[in-house]
Amino acid sequence: MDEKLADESGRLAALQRYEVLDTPREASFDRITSLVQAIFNVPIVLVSLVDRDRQWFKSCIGLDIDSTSRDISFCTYTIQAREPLHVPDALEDSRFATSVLVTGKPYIRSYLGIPLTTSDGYNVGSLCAIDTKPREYSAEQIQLLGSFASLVVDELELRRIAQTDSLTGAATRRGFLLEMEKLIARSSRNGRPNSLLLLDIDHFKSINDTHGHPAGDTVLRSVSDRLYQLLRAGDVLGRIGGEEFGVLLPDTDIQGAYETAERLRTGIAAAPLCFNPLLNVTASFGVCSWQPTYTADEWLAGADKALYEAKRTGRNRSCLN
Amino acid sequence: MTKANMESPTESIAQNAFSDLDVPPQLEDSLRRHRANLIQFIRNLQTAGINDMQIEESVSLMIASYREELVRTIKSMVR
Repeated sequence: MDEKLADESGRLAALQRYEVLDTPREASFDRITSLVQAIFNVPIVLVSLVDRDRQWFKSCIGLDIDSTSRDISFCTYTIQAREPLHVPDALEDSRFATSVLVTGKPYIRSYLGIPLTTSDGYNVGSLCAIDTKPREYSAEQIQLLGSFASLVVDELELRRIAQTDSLTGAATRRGFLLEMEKLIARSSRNGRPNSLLLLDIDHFKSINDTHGHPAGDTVLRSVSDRLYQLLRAGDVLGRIGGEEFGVLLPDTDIQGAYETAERLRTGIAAAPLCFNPLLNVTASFGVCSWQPTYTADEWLAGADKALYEAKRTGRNRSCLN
Repeated sequence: MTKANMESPTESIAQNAFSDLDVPPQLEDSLRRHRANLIQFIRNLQTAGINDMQIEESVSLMIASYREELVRTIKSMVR
């Protein structure tokens, strides 16, 4: 029994680590699907990522939708195995013959799907070639689609590395901005309040100048460790610049955000963060709630203005915008 | 060396792709995997009967595409 195939919560966590769901289309993935379409001569090609209740398409040729519910998807079957899923004629396959995707648009008749397997062994989605005619694929063609699937995973992996700061484990600026965009899109739909904190470690330059960069790195790691201890599971921590961090607080209004900022601030100041040399560290915080007119840049600018005010008025404090 | 284990010109391009870039250690494993996947991709294109010109075009496209993202990633890591 392959334990990872049965570990749905681990699979979903692996998918989340890629932070790719609901991100914009990207040329790199579209180039792969275009090439698959040209070589296999099929009308539909998908990079499908299988979320809890839906499959979402990072790249899609031949359909004018970006997701379907999971319960009607072929790819749900693909991710349950290590082998490709080859359906030469869906009408002859009892699993799919009555599917709405077969009996109605887009009238799928043949399907070849390869699991997208992460380096830690989870199937997060599928690369699939779909035809509206019955079709038998050769072993060589199946292997070739497998190679394309490996290239898709390579692209996903590159993005995952780019979105994680190797020193602190927080999101990079790029990853954090992507998370902001996703939260803005979600807030625009559901109208829930969201807030952003920007924090900057006080006098960090003098720590580096006096004690050297290894001590500075220890402080950065310790600050992020302490922040992770104090944040909720759904909050997002990012390293925005050298010694500047951002915290996204979903479903949190300005009052809640201010209280969180104060909790984090006192948590950082409460005990030394570096013991050799012994260093007490403080941080200043800017707090800004999202407004429906804000872009990500405007939201960041609002929090940055509040952070500047905290610095200007004495440091080791939280200010609101 | 037998013909079976000789590198084709396209494989050689894949093997040496990105060697001009200064790749941070965090990316080395990914890059090694990607090179191996590119070489397997070329062999699978050949086995599937795709002609040499299309293989070369496809591999060049995939290398250029990955390179674009790789360069962006390296830049974001050394900020």
